[in-house]
Amino acid sequence: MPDWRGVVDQQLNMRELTSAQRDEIVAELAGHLEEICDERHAAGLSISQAADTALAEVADWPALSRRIEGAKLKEGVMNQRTKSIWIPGLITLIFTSGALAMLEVWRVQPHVTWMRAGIGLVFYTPWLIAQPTFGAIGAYLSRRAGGGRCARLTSGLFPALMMLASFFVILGVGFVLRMLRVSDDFRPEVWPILAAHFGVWVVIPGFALALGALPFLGAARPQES
Amino acid sequence: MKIRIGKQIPSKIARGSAELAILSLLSKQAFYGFEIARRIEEESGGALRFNLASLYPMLYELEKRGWIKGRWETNRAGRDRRYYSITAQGRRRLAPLRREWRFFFAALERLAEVSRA
Repeated sequence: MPDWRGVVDQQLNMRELTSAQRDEIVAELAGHLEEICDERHAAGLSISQAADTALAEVADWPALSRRIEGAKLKEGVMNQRTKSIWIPGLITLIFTSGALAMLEVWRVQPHVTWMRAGIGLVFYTPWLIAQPTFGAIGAYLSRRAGGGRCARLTSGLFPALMMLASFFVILGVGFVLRMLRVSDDFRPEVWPILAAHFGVWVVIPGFALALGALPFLGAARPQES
Repeated sequence: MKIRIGKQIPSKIARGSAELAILSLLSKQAFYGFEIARRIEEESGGALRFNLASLYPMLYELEKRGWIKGRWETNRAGRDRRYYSITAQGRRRLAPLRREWRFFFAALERLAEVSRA
């Protein structure tokens, strides 16, 4: 018997859909072709004749791919992205920000590590320890919404990505102000301090979040989309 | 006369009749794609025939509208298949759809009678 999943997977070209949606469609169409092939084979055709009859069901695979994408996406790519990235990501962000706020409310003292040149790096150890849990929540929610690996990782890392974006904005504004000679706060001597804070607020939490998301990045069976 | 739903009659009429056929069938029982195509062909006496390329875009479209819902289940042969069932919204849509089609065919029938007379 032909590998129908392989055949359909090779023929369908649906780049706009998530991997979960693709997997589900491939599995469904492959099942349909398999049944036609079985039926025709049972009716007396050879396997290769039965397979040819099944394949004749689709005269134009690119057109079918477009029609399926159209049917799945008319509601909007945004909708699937919202469900599998934005909502899980924002929930993760709320958890991480909320946890940080709670530490402030409970007056938990941060751990300060002093570096050379008098730079103090602030660590909220309980907050960092909680990051893998938040990353796991984001990746889990994304997987439940049918998100592919990339969407799950993005959702899990969302708070760190937001911090990364904030850093870029701050750097951009700082450099523009320096070029316009409005402010000299971003002189080269400050860069090591920024790099250190980047490590504490982006790299380390990002690593911890990714660690939590890791168990949810594996392949799952076709999801309900 | 056979109506092949798909490229042969890519009109709103074919589309509407396909929607009615699928919703009517699923209002009785949940079926998966292959069964839907077979049942419609059998129950229409071979007059309506879906192929894979015409069936699935239609099913996904109806699912997106919230008229039907798909769910993976294992069939009697032990294979995972996506069974479609009609939703409450789909049932609400089916009644006016049936009326529209009855009205449409009645109008065509009257027209044919007039032209025969």
